[in-house]
Amino acid sequence: MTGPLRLLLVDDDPDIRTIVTLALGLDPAMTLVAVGTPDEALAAIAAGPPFDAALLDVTMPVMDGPALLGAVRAIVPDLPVIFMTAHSRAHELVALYAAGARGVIVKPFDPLTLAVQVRALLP
Amino acid sequence: MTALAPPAPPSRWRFLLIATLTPLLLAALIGWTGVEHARSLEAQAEAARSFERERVLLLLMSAVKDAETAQRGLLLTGDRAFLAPYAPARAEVERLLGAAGAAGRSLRPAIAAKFAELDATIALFERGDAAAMRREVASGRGKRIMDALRDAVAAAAAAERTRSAERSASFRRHRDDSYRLLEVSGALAGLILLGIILALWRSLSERHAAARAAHEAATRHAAILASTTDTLLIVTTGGTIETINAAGQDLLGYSAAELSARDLATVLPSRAGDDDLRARFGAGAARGVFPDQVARRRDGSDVTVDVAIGVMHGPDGDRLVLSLRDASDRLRIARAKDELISTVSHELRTPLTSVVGSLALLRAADAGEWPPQAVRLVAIADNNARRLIRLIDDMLDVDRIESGQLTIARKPLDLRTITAQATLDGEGVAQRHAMTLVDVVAPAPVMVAGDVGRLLQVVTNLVSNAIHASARGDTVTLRTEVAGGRARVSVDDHGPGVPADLRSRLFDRFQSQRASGGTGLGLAIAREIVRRLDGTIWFEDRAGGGTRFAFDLPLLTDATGDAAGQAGTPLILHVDDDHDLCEAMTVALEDVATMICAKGLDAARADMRDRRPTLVLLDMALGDGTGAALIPELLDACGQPIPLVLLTAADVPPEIARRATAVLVKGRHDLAAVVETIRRQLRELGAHR
Repeated sequence: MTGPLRLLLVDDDPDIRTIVTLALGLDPAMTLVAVGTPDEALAAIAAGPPFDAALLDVTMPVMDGPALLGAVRAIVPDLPVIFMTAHSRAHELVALYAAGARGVIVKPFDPLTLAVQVRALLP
Repeated sequence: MTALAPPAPPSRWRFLLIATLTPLLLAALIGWTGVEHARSLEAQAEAARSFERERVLLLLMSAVKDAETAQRGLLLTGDRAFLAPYAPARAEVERLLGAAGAAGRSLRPAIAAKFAELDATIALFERGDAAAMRREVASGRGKRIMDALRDAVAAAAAAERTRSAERSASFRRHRDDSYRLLEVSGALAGLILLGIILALWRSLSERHAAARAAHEAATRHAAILASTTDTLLIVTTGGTIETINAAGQDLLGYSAAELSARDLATVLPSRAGDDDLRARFGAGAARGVFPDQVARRRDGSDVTVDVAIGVMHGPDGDRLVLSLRDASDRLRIARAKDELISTVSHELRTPLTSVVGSLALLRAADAGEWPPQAVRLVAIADNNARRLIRLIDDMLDVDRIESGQLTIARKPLDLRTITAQATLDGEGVAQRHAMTLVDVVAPAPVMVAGDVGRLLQVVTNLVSNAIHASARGDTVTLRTEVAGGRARVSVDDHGPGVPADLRSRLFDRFQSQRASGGTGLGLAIAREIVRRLDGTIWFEDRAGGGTRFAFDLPLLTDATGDAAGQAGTPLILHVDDDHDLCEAMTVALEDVATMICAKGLDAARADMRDRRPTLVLLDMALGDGTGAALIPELLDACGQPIPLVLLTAADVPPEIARRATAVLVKGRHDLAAVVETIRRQLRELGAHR
């Protein structure tokens, strides 16, 4: 996908939010809304305008990534969700795909190619 | 433990022979003794009779003398009183003649003549002619007759004496014979009795020894059964429980009596779909180990156990020995370890993501204005952060190896592409150390069945080790070649060599660390990867200094290439540029199919040509074009379309959707749905084969 993209990032780690914001900022056609909690995420979705995809951290307090995916899908049933996780073992990845992920980006990621990776996972 | 041969039964025929012949022999001996005894008695009686006859003859002679004495007394005295004994003597002679038998008969004429002479002389006296009587006596006729008679009696008596002596000797002979026979029979009977007693004793002591051995064995077995901490169940081949040991009673909460003659399903309940022992534990309930089985306690709770089955052959049929080991601890430890590794790796990766990400963004920014010190410091931070990430990755790889989850693909590849990529990747580090990387490539493709990522990991590790072992200005040489009929990759350095104390355990974990400055896991992982691809990895000292690390793999020929997809296992070609999804699919389908991942159109075309998959799973949006371009080429050896499942986020035009047996949309269909669809496809394909 090459057009402009509006993305939502949910990660409780502010450092990661900063790095992802900077990394995706390398792609001028990407807009990122980065939030730290599920509540903020659901609020951002409700506030609109619609997102093209959501990047979700997996291990978060209160609500983990797959649970948040369920909550997000309840509002936007076909929103593509990409997990960003430091879990890298096969069965952990299988669980994420089983939860309905469009794709998984394993941390640590290369910030210089992150935008390309995200675009490759989206239609 | 070797099986003991059962003791042979005693020989019935030998026993019968001895039991028959011995009494026969004894009876014959006793019979013979009886005969000898009878003969001796007869001889004794005969001797007595002869003796009696001799005595009769002497008495006869005496009676005749008495008669003659009476005659002489009469003659001398003329007194009739002297004649009184004459008549009784004569009567006595008649009686004795009758008793003398044959001898009497022979003597009778002589005696008759004597008495005729006596009667005649006595008659002369009676007539009063004493003178005539005296003349007659004086004539000596009577004396002659008497002398002849005496001789005859003496001869007869001598004959009887001789006969009596003979009979006595015969008696003694037979008597002695019968005594000897009696002794022999007695001795024989004694021997037989002794033999019987000895045999009886031996039999009794053997029986006792056997009973004691059996008792000891039974005690030992009972002690083993009672003291082992594993549950032991003895079960008939029909699945009926016969015995359970104490540990089993503790684990399951049943007493031995409660379980006796119950079905095995009481404690090992069947799961849906596999309702008998055979189905659960393999055809014929053969021996084997079945981990993670569910056992049910008396109170209805379940416990996970590892079941080992052995077969016990007995005279009354086979028994199964089921050993149940409580797997709770193992599972708990495994879960705890899994959790620890997962947490540690996650908690280390998260901050490292920030560190490495920040440094990467920093280095990408315009560094022209930075002081050279800062550039160097950022590079040092970046290198070390990446080293930490490598350590975590290596630890996860070691865990995968240990838990058997290291997935290694086997797809045809040219080893030259691996060394080329490793050379490219190592270039940056080499330059920083003022070293040269040289890749000496084989003139023709060196094909093996392997995993690009994993083999690159091996070669990269060897190159990294070589660089760390070398001094500035050195050259590290990579080489691909075919040697000894196998594909070989080698990495040469000019370093100081492997220290002597490390040589034997260099490929063990955390051993190579000091030498290489790496994580200490790289070579252990490399050895496992190479081993899993049927290869060997080693190192050798190079002539002229330095070390060569090398590994070889089986060369892939057309024949082995065809066999690479295991016979009977469906081969699925997954064309998708999302590597993680490919890996997830490989894991999710590993029990039913062999997966090949192709990232782009070119790789997919190569796999179609080399591997001939059973089914193709296709993503429409690929890095190097659209999957639609590939669809007309998805044909089998007979030119028939290969079953196609589309798994894509892109829109699928209707004419393409018609060609596919299923269309799945990423994001809408979750992994479970994708896996189930493919399993269903494979089942249908299997049914049509």
